Amino acid sequence: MSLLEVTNLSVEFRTSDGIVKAVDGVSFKVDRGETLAIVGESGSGKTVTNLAIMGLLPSKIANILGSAKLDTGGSSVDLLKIPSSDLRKIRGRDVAMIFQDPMSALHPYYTIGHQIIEAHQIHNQCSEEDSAKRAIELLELVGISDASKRLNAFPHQFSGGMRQRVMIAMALVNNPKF
Amino acid sequence: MFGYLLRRIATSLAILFAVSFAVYAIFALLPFDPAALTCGKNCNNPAIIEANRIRLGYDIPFWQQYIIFLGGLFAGRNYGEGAAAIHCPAPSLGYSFNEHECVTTLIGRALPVTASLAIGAMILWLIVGITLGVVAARFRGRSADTASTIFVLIGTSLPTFLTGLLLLVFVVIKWKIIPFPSGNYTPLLENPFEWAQILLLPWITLAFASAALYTRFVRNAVIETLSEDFIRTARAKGLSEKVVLRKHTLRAALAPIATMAGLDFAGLLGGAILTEKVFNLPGLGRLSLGAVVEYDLPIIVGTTLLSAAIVITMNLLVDVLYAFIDPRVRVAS
Amino acid sequence: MFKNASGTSRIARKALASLAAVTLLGAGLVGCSSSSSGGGTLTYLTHSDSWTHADPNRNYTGQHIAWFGSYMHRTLTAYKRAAGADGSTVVPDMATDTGRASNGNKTWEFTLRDGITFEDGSTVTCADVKYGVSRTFATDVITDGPGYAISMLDIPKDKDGASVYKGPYKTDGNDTAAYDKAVTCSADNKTITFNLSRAVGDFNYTVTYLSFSAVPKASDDGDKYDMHPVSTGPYKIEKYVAKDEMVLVRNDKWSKDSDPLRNAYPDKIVVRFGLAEEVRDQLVINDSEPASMSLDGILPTNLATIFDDAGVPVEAWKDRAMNVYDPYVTYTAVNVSKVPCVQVRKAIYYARDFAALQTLAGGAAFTGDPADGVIKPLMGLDYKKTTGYEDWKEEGNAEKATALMAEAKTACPDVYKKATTAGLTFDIGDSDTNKKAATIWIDSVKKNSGIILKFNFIEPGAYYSVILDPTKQGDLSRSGWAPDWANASTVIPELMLDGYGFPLSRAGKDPTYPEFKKRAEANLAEPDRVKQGAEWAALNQYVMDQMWIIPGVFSKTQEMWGSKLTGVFFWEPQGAPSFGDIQISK
Repeated sequence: MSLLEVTNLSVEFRTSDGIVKAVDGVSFKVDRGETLAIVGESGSGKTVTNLAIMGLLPSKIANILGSAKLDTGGSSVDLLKIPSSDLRKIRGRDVAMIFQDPMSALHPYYTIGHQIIEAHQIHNQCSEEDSAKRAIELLELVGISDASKRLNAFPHQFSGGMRQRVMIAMALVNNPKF
Repeated sequence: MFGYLLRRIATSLAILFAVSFAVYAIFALLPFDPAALTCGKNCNNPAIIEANRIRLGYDIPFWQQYIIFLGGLFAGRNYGEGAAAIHCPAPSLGYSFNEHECVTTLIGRALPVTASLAIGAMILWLIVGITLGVVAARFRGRSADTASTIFVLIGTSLPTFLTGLLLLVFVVIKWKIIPFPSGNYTPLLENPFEWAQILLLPWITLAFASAALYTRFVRNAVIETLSEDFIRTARAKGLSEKVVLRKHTLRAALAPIATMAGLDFAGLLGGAILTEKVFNLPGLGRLSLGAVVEYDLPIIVGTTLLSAAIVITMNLLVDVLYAFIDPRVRVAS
Repeated sequence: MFKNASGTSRIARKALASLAAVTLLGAGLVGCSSSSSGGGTLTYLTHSDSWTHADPNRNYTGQHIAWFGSYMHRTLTAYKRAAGADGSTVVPDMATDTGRASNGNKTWEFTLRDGITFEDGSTVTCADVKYGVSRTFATDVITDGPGYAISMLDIPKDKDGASVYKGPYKTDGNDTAAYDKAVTCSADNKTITFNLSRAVGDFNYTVTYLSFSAVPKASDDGDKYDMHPVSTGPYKIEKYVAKDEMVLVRNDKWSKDSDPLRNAYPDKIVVRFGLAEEVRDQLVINDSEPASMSLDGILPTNLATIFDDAGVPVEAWKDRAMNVYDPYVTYTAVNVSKVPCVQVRKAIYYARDFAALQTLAGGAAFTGDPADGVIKPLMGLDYKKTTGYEDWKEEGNAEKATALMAEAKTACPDVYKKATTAGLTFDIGDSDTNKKAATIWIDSVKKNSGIILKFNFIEPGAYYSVILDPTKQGDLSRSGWAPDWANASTVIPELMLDGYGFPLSRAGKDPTYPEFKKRAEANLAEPDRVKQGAEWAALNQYVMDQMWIIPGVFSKTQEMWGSKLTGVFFWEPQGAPSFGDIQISK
């Protein structure tokens, strides 16, 4: 079975001008180890599709139809149908997202180390030192030198490209499946 | 950091000198004669008006008056002679003939009253404002939000003196829920219970309008922050909504609120005039208002300087506080 | 004294006072001296932050004199504590009689009674009274009080017009010998003699002012004495903090034996300062403190709760409120030097819509009756209803006004032209009520006489210093006046003669003035009080014939108090209740 199977995904937004269909019946499959590239013009609904799968769209205005089945090693779970408390456990652990705009995606008030450790701590029962070690591991992985020192740096102290790497590190910290 | 503070303090002192000089200059430029205005009922005689002018020290050019004032700050100041001699010890801001007391003493008495009022009210309105604002933002569009909007409308429409009067007349006089205070103010250290009882209604009065205002600000700030990208990241990491709100949203939303609160507090310390008048609290507001009506220059100079000093200090504290909250603003280390 | 408040009526409270006295005597008798009957704490409520002045030399308003005179400061003579006209009688206080005049009323002698002490037990001597009077001369420290000592005592003036004696504080350039000559003490330090620069037939009235009371030199610290004056009366100050309260407790060194005038009914007297006006009113209206009294007037919005449309207290307030005539007369002074045309002046009087102004001010029931001059009926001997204006109408008499203007056109064409084209300037204090009143004046006077009025609204604090300056004063100026004591010698000369206290009418150049001045100055020295009174009434008529002022109202004031107070009556000479006679019922 594929890792992620998206079937007939539709996303409608209830706006004051009426119903806007952002995504209309999208289906795709991603297998383990496979990299799927979804390409399209800007505004074609690429980000919305991903946000819908992650459950990051505000439920009040977004109407999501279809299914997105994730293989969690044993059973399959429809990300669009499970309760938010279960979805939260999967987000950041089994499924992670790296956002487009690294400038604003990191919290300006907390150090990058704090933010990566936080991502790790949500889903693991480790001590802070162990989470810190994991964070350093990942920062080195994405090519940030002097990682242990950089843990205490703030996002505004990094360049755009470095911030993108931090985002990647943060997304990968829990070894997500997808 | 140390150098930064030193520079700020030096500029502050310069501003204070400028402010005090400006007050003297403005007084000198008044279109009417303050000596004639303050000589009471016998002002039907140029000789009496002139005697009054000399008594108040307005008969010398204003820059000379200013220099004498500066001297008083360091060395104290003397008035009159014989049995009528008066001495105001340093730092002397002058003597008020209306209040029959040295200005520094008057300010020293009034400041704790206004400070008690301001601090208590601010704590109250921050608690109410932030709580309601966050609740309104969190449950945006639902009944909690609507209720908070109604609260905001009422709070910002009712003037403080009306709120105060209504509370005083009904809660104290008509329904007798709280007893009418036997004195106008009791210092905290003398009797904390009485201190709080006297200040309870003034705190509520003052806090009411501000709580409403802050509810709206906090609500808007939180809603705006919630739409930031880093909040989406936090959710993507799998954080619960509670943690997202508390840790990620609040700190970001409250940074500008902290600045506002700091400056509001500075303004309040100058004296919440209407509240003090309604509840008969002998604070800085009453002191400065009375001085303006009576053209009492020494008190006007004293309270203006104090207000300026408070505003300057609070500005500095707020800047430091903001840097503490938002690392982007910190002086490069 | 001039006007801060407005309005009065003659209610005989004497009956009430005597009833209360009987009730009291019936109550706590056995083993109690009369000075300690009564008891309790009497509270006064006020909007003011403090007393304007507690220093006896600086007190000028009737209310201050009545209050401090009742509780703390004794004077050589005082007014009888009685309601109605009887209350304007002068009786001895610290002195043994009402003074002995000689040298054509230029020398006055008073002997002090035995047993008068300050609150520390030391005896009050002539030297203490002499010292007290001397403080008035320190005009740079002791401000605001009446200046009669300066204007009446025989002490030379220097070239600037100020006295050569500068008070007890200055050493340089101070002719203390001149004062010692003018005020002398007998060898036994009990008889004080005043040598005056001119004949003053009613000097025994002048010394009812607290500025002629005793002050102990050792306790005098000049300006600060205002916060802790020393008492010769039944109470002394225990606490006095502005914006807070003043507490008086019994002065155990005071004895009723040496003081036939005062009482010491309450155990304690408290004055609560700084109350918001509505709060002060509500405290009394709700009877929150039944043994309390308001020291201020009543807010217009609360009058309807207490009084009916005719101004009479409703049943529940029968014994708790009064609506009486105060000593003030309101008027509009016409600057005769700028409006030298009697027809124009009279035309304004006839043209004005007095009725509308009354309604605006709250109705005649509370603001008072139309005045017919500057002397009020309750002055008794000095009052006689003026004549010559029987065709005056409250809502204005257009016919008469127009007829007068027709006369003016030929009799004084310049003034006529100015009044009907450029207009006459009218000084008045800046307030919302006055702005509304101005519209009524402008409209009715224009409609009924063709005279144009241009109002000059002046900041209230600056008002008197502006209109008293002859270079700044307009053609018309609003004002009010109350006699300083029960003799129109403190009204007619003060208001009409150049060089006296309050000459807004500036009639000096008017051809009818010299005759008036001669008669007025002669009357000041008239020893026969009845004759003097009749002449003042005649001079009042003279003023009205020339319309040097446009009369306003004989104003009224309202008072209210808690349900446990008895013995309250209106003390006419002071225009305030006789505070010392108020008791707390059990």
